[in-house]
Amino acid sequence: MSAGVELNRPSSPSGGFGGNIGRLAVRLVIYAFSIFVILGPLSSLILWSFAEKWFWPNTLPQEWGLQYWSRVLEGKMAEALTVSFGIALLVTVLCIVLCVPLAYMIARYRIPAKPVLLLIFLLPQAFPQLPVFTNAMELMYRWDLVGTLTGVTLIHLVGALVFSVWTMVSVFQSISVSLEEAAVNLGASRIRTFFTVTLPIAVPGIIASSLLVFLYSLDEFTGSLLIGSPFITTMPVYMYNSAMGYEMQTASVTGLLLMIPGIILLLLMQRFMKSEYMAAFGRG
Amino acid sequence: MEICLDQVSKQYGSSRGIDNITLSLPQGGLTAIVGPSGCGKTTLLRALAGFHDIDSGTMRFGDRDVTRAPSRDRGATMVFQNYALWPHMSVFDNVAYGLKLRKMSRTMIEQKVHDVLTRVEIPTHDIKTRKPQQYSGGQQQRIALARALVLEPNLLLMDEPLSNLDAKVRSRLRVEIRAIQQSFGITALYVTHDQEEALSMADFVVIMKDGRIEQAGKPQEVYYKPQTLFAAQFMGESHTLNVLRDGKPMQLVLRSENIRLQPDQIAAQLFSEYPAVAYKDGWYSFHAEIGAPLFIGSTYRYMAAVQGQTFFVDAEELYPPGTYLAAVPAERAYWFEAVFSQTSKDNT
Repeated sequence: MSAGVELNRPSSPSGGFGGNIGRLAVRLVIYAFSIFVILGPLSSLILWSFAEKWFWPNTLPQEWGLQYWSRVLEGKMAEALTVSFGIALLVTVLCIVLCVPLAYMIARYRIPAKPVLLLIFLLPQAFPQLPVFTNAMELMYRWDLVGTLTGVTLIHLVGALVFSVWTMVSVFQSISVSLEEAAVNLGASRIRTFFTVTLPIAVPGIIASSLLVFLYSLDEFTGSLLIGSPFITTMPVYMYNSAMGYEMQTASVTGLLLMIPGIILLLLMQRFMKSEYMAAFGRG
Repeated sequence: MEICLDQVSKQYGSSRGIDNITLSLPQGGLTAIVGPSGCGKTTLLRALAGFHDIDSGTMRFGDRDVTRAPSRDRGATMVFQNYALWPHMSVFDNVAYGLKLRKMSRTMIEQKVHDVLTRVEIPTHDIKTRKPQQYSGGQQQRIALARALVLEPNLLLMDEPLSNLDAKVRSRLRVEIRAIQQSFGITALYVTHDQEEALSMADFVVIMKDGRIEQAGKPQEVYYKPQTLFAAQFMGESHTLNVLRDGKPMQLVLRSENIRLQPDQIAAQLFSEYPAVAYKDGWYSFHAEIGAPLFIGSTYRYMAAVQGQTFFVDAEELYPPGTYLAAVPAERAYWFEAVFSQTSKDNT
């Protein structure tokens, strides 16, 4: 086979040159288009974040400055940022602790109503979020959880568990049972097998799933607004509040800041993510 | 150590089980279980490994009754079809896993791992840094073999270990696995659906069908002296014909390589629905239509037909298509009673 490739090579430069340029042009157009589609909407955010005065009908801001950036970064914004990251971290840890054993059992053992169980996890996602969260809010009022960190964490868990369980089930399902049988056969106990074989192999998938959960919690808005306000203000809620006050600059800065962890984590995730883990996603 | 199974049964869902299996494995020999998929061969293997409980019967390793013993206490280690090597561990850690569980000293473990890997011909200088997936399929299966052998088990179980490999590697690894098994002198049970693999590797062949043993014996025995219709049909390039012998309907199983052709101008005479087979001087013969030859390397393969029933004939000579007398030596013609009807004729 390699000989065939060698033989083809001498003839290709003359004939392939024109083809290369054509291909390059097509590729450039595609790149330009994707950059436009992705960055187009973002550009107005970027412009707004640096604008100190921008009135219609000017195409570009009349006055530029970093005033809003500095204001956002020192004031209440920093507090919202801390709250958001704190909740996201807590939700992620809880998800791992709850979902790893649960997902493993769903993936490995014959559980009587397995489809029903998985469906229950999917239910909050199947209905529109607003009624689900409004109902949850009623319960939370009864238990005095509205406006508390616990309340917001719980409401985030409702959605986060769905991502977590569904992805982790497919992570564990993608690990061949014979890998575990081999360990048991060589003398390991079930527990030992799980910690020395199954879990280490699942770690990349668990990390990927956790990153998704983290991002979900960081960006969650409806639940945070309903359950958290007025005492707990997360980043998305903060952004919403500023935008409602027609402070486009603050909203833009917040929006841009919120994108940063997302981009970083998604890049990280690409390293850990295998396409089969994505299979379980309904949305994301 | 002698491995004995006594009336072992395991019902597994609807059909894929084993039914009343009594078998004893020759000591230090390789026993191959062969059969079509769903015949229960893997179920039997996994029952011996202790991966699932059996419904009834007993299993003995030497004097010890292991029927209810957990997998880890049996000393029956397994080699899996997909190798089942752990991708997150180095080759050294893979092979050392079982030894570490047995609380052996570090130097002892090093020694044993290096020894066993050398015996299966895996270079040992970089085993602590390389992961199994960096090796070829054949090497991975030898590493898996080493991982099973390093514990010096009573019984080595192999579940279609070669079926994920391509043909060239497979035929070489057959010889290698056989040589390794003999050099360790270990009792081994080998499950395969490939009859050629079973015949070439094993000291003892067990043919299974529908959870039962059809026939068990030495490779030559099960090949040349099939006891049941299924055993005859399963081994070799076999063809079943519905024929009349002395006016009595019978099923005749032929192997392509045993059929001799003689040019014969007389067309087969249609006396009855089924072809009549004549006997003369130790040969059974009948008329058959021979089609165009197919060159298959060592011989030519002919598609032959006798009254709508088709079979292959392998012969070294080149014959033009036409009517021939097909003859089979009596000791290579396998006869089975048959009450066949219109429908069974279509199934051949």
